[in-house]
Amino acid sequence: MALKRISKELQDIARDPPSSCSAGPNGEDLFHWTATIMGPKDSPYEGGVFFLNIHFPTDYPFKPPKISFTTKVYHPNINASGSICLDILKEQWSPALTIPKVLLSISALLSDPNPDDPLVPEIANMFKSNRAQFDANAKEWTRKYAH
Amino acid sequence: MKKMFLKFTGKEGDGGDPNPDKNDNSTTDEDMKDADQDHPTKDEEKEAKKAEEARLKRLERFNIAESEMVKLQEAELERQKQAAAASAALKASPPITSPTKSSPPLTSSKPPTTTTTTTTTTTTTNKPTITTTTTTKPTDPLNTVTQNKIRNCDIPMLETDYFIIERIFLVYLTPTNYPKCVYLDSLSQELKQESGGKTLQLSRPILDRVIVERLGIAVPGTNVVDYLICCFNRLKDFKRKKLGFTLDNQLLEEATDLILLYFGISLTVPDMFPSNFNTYGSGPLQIMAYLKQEEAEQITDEFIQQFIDHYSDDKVPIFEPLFKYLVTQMPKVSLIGEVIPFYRAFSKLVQFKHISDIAIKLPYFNPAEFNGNQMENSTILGTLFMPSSASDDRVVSQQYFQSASTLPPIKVNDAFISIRSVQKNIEATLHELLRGFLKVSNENKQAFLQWVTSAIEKNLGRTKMNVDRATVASDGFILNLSSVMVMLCESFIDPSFSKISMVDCNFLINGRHNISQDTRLCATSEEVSNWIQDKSIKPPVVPATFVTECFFITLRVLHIGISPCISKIKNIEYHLRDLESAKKTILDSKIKWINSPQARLFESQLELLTKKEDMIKGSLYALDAQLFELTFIQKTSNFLLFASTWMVKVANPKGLQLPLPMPPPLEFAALPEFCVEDIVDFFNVIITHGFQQALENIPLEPLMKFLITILSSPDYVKNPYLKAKIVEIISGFIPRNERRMGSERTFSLLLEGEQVRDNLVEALMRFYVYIEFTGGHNQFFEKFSYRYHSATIMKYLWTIPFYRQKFHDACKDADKFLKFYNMLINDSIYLLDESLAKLAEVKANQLLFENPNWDKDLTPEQRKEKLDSHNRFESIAKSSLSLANENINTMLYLSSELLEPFMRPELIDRISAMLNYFISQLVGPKCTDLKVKDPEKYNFDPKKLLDDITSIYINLGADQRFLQSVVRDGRSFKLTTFQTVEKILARERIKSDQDLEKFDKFINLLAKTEKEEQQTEEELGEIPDEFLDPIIFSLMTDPVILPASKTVIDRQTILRHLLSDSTDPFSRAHLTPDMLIDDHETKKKIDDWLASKKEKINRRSSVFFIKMCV
Repeated sequence: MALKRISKELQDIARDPPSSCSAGPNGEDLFHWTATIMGPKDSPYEGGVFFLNIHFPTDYPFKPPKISFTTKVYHPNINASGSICLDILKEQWSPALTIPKVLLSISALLSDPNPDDPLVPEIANMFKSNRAQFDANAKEWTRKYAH
Repeated sequence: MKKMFLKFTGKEGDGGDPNPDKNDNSTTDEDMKDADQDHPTKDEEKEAKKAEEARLKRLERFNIAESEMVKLQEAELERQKQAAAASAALKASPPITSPTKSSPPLTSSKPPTTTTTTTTTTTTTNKPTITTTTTTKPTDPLNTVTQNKIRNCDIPMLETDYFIIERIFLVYLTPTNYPKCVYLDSLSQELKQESGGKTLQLSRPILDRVIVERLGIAVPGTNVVDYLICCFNRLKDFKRKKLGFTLDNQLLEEATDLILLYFGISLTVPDMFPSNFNTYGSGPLQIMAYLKQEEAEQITDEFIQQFIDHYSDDKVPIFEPLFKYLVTQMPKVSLIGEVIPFYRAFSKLVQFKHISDIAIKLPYFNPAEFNGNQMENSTILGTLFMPSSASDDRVVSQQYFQSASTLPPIKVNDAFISIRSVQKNIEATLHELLRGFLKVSNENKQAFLQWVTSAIEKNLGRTKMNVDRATVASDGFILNLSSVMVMLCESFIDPSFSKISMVDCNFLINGRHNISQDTRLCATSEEVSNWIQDKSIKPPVVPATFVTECFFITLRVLHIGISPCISKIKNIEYHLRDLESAKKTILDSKIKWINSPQARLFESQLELLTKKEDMIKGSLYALDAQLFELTFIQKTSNFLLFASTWMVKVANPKGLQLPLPMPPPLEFAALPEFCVEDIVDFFNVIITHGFQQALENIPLEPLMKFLITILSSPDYVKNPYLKAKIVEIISGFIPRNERRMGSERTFSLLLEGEQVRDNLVEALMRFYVYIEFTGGHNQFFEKFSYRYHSATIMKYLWTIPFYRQKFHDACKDADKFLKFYNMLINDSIYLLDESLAKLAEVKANQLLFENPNWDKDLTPEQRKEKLDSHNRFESIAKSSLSLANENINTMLYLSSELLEPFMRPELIDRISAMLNYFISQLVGPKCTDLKVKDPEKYNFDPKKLLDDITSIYINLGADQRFLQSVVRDGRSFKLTTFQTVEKILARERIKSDQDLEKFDKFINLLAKTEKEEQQTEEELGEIPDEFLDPIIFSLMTDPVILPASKTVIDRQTILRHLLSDSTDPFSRAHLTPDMLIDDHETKKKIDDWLASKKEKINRRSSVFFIKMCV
C-alpha cells in the first residue's frame, strides 16, 4: 500500500522537480532514498550541498519518514549523527505531507534555526550569544564537509 | 571540670538530706569519703578567703548599707512580733507568726542606690567558717525534734525554726561540726545581740537575712543558683514528708517566696553574689544546665511554676536568653551530638503557658522577613528540626561516609542502622516535644500553625529546578518536619480512616494556605477563583479543626520535602554515573599514560574525581539514611493512604461506579496537583528503590482504589505524567518481576477491592492510548517507557484467568479499544524499525573497531565524536529493543485468544506489513548487518524474536482476512522469506515440532492465497486520478468528504489516520469519525466505473472472471 504512495511521490518529483533539492531511491530498494538540499541563499550554509538519508517505515504515510543528514551540519537542531529536530518529522507529521514538502521544511530550518528547542545545546548557545561566531563556524563546516 | 562540679553539688544535697530512709544511703558514705579526699581544708580556706574578698568588693559596688538593712529588718521583725502576739491572742494558732507578704524584703535588701558607703559591719570582720569536719557523722538532731521544744543555745529558737534554717538552708547559727553546713558567724552575732537571750522567732525578715548572708559566702562547689534550687527542693521534700512534727506552712511559703526572689535576683543581677555562675556563665543562662539535666539537682516543674507565680518582675529578661541560647546553639549540634538535652530544655520551658507566651512573641519566633533557610536555622522551632543526617552541616556524612566511593556495602548498611536508630529516636522525641508544646494553649497551636505554614511557603522554592539552596531549608529539616507532622496526624488516623469526613476540603482551596501558584488537578486558577467568588466552592468552616489544619500542613510539608529529595537522589545518581564513566575512561587508557610524562596529571585527575565521588556519594547515603528509614516510610505510607481515601471521597462522594462521570466535582478539580503527585511520587520511589518490604504489613487497598479511580477517569487529573507514575507504581508491585521485588501476596492484597479488580485491565488499556500525547517536549519518546510499564502489568494479569476474562470483555466492544491496538502496532513498528536500524549501525562500528588502526587518521575530536555516536547507537538499540520485545510479546498473547481486533480493516494491513518487513530484515539478505557481537547486551535475541513473530503469524493466520493482507503487502512479502524462516526454525530448534507443523500449514495457505490475489490485481489496469485515495493512492471503495478541507478520501484511510491523530491531515482542523461526510456522488462514479470495467473483463474473458470468483 505504501508502495503506491511512494511510487506516486517519485513520479511527481520526476514530473515537477523541486527547486534547490532532489530525492530518489537509493538503488533497487524503493523504501530507501537519498536526497540533497542546497544550502539556502543568505545563510551560512550557502554554496553547500547536503546529503540526506530517507527511510520509509512500513506504516508510511501514516507515520513520518525517517530522515537524517549524512553530511555534517553545524546547526542547533541537527546533531552529530545527522538527526533532525523538526516537529513535522515527529508528532506534527501529517499524511498529507510529501518528501518534497519535508525537504523544503528542512531547508527552511537551515535558514532559520530554532535555538529554543535545541538538539545541540552548545550550538544553540553559540547561536544566541555570539551570532557572528556561529555563522563563521557554520560556514567553516559547510566549506569543509558540504563542498 | 564539669565532673568535679557535679560531685560537689551532689555532696551538698546528700549532706543536707536528713531522711534516713533514703535509698542511696550506702553510696552517700562512699561519696563522702571521696569528697574528703577531693578538697583538703587548706584549699578550702584559701578559696573562702578569696570569695569573701570578692563579696566585699561587690557589696561595695552595690552600695549596700548593711547596718541600714539590719535596722529595717529589725523594724519589720518588731512589727511582725506584735502582729503575731495579736493573732496568738485571738486563736491558739501556730506558734510562729505569719508575716504578710505586703512588704517584700526584696525592696529592703535592695535599697535604692543611695550614697552611704558606710562602715562595714561586723559581718565583714568575722570570717565565715565552713565546717567540713571529717569526724563521725553526728546523730540526726531532728529525730528528737518536737514542735515546741526550744533549743537552748546562744540564740534560743524553736526547734522547728532551727530545722528550717539548718535542714533547708543548710546554715548554722552556732558553730557546728555537722558536715557541709555553713556557719553564719556574723549573722549569729547580730541575732544574738538582738535576741538578748530571749527566744527568737523565725520570720521572713530573719530568713531574708539568713539567705542574703549565706549567698554572700562563696561555698566551693555550690554556686548561688544551685544552692537556691537545692533549698527549694529540700523545702518541698520536707513539706511532703511526715516528720512527726508540723512546720509552719506560712513560714515555708515565705521561705519559698524568698528562695524564688533571690533566684530571680541572682539571675538578673549576676554581680550581687559571689560564686554566681556555672558552666553557662552568669545570668539566666545558668538555668540551662538544669533544663538540660546536666546537674545532679533537678529544677522541678513546681519550681518553675512557682517562680513564674512568685517573681513579680518582668520575666522576659530571664526566659528570653534561654530561647536565644536554644536558637543560636541548636544549629551547632549535629545529629550525632547532644541533641536530646536541648529538646528537654525546650519541653521543660514551653510547658508553662507563661513561658510559651514569651517564646511565641519573641521577634525570632516567626519573622515575616526570614527566608526559607532562616526559618530553619534562626527560629526557635526551626532549629529544633535541624539535627539530621541530611542536614546542611554534613557532619554525619563526614563521620560515616568519609570515603563513600570505596565503602563496602556492609559498612554502608551498618552506618544506616546506627544513623537510623538515632534519627528515629530524635524524631520521636521531637514529636513528644511538639505535642507538649501544642497542648499548652490555643495560642501555641495557632503560633505553631502559622510558623509551619510560613516555613512551608518560604520553602516552596525547594520544588523548583533552579533554586539557590542557600535560601531554602535543608532536606534534613523538611524531612524531620514531615516525619513529625505525620506522627502528629496519627492521632486522627484510625485503621478504618473514619475521620476523613473531618477534613474540610475547602480549607485548602480557600483558606489560610496560599496555593495560588500551584497547578490544580483539572482546573485553571481563573476557574478556581471564579468558583470561590460565586460561592460554587463554599468558604471553609471557621475556625478550621485541628484535623483539617494538620492534614493539609502535612500534605504540603511532604510536598516540599519528599519530592525534592527524590529528584535530588535522581540527580546524584546521574552525576555518579558521569563520574564513574569519566574515571573509567582514564583508567582504560592507563597503559598509554602510565609511563608518559603526563602520568602525574592523570593521577591527580583521578584523585580529584574520586574525591568528588566520595563527596557526592556521601551526601546520597546521608539522604538515603533518613529518607528510607523504615518507620518513617511506614508512618508516611499510612498518612498517604488516609490522604488517598480522602481524595477518593472528594472525587467520588457518592461512591459511583468507575469510570466517573464528567465533569469532576469542583472541589476535586480545584485541588492542587501535588495532592495526587506526592502520593504517587512517594510510593513510586519506595518501589523503585526496593523498599516494598516496608509496605508488607500495610493494607494498601486504599492506595490501589485511589490509583484506579484516577487511572479510570483520565479527565479527572490533567497531568499525564501523574498517570504514568501510577502505572509505574502498579508495575512495581508485580511479582516475579526480574528487576523488582514485588511478592504475590502483596500484589493480591493490592487487588483486593472489587472496584480495583473490575477496572484494572480497562484502565491500563485506556492509559496506553491516553499517554500518546503528554504535551511534553519529549512526548514522542517518553510514551514508550510509560507504555512499557503498563505492558508489564498486562502481561502478568493475562496469566490470571480472572483478568484474562477482563481482556476478553474489553474486546467485545470493538470500537472502544481499537485505539489501544492501534497504538500497540504503531509502537511496535517504530521501535523494531528503530532498533534494527541502530543495531546495523552498531554492527558497522564494531567491524570498524576491529581494525586496530581505525583511528589512525582521525583527530582527537573526530575520534571522540565517533565513539560518542557509537555509544548513542548502542543505548538507543538497547532501550528500543527492550521496549519492542515487550510490545511483540503483548501482541503475541493477545493474538492467541483475541483475533477480532487485529482483523479490523484499519489495522490488519499494517500488522501484516510490519510482520513481513521484520522477518525479511531478520532473515533476508541484509540479516548479516544485524549480527552484532554480544547481542544480549542490546536485549537482542533474534531467535526469540523470530519465534514470537512467527507465532503471531500462526495465531492471526487462522483468519483468511489476515492471509490476504499478508500477501497483498507490496513491500516485503515474499513467499521465499517464509520458507527461509521455516528452515531456520527447524535448524535452530526454535519451535516445537507441533508448532513447526502449524507454521508449515500457514505457509501453504499463504501460497494458495497469493495465487488468488495475483489474479484480482491484474484486471483493473489504469485507475482515474479522481478515484484514487489522496493519501495511499489506491482505488477508493467508500469515499467520504472531510468537512474542513473538503478533501475526498477513502473512509478506510481516514479512519486509520484518526486512530492516531484527531486532525484533518490536509488542514489540521479537529476531526473525529462522526464528522465524516459520505460522498455518494464519487461513490456512484467509482461503482459505475468498476461495473463497466467488469463488463469489459467479462466480455474479454468470462472464464477468467469465474475463476477469480471461486
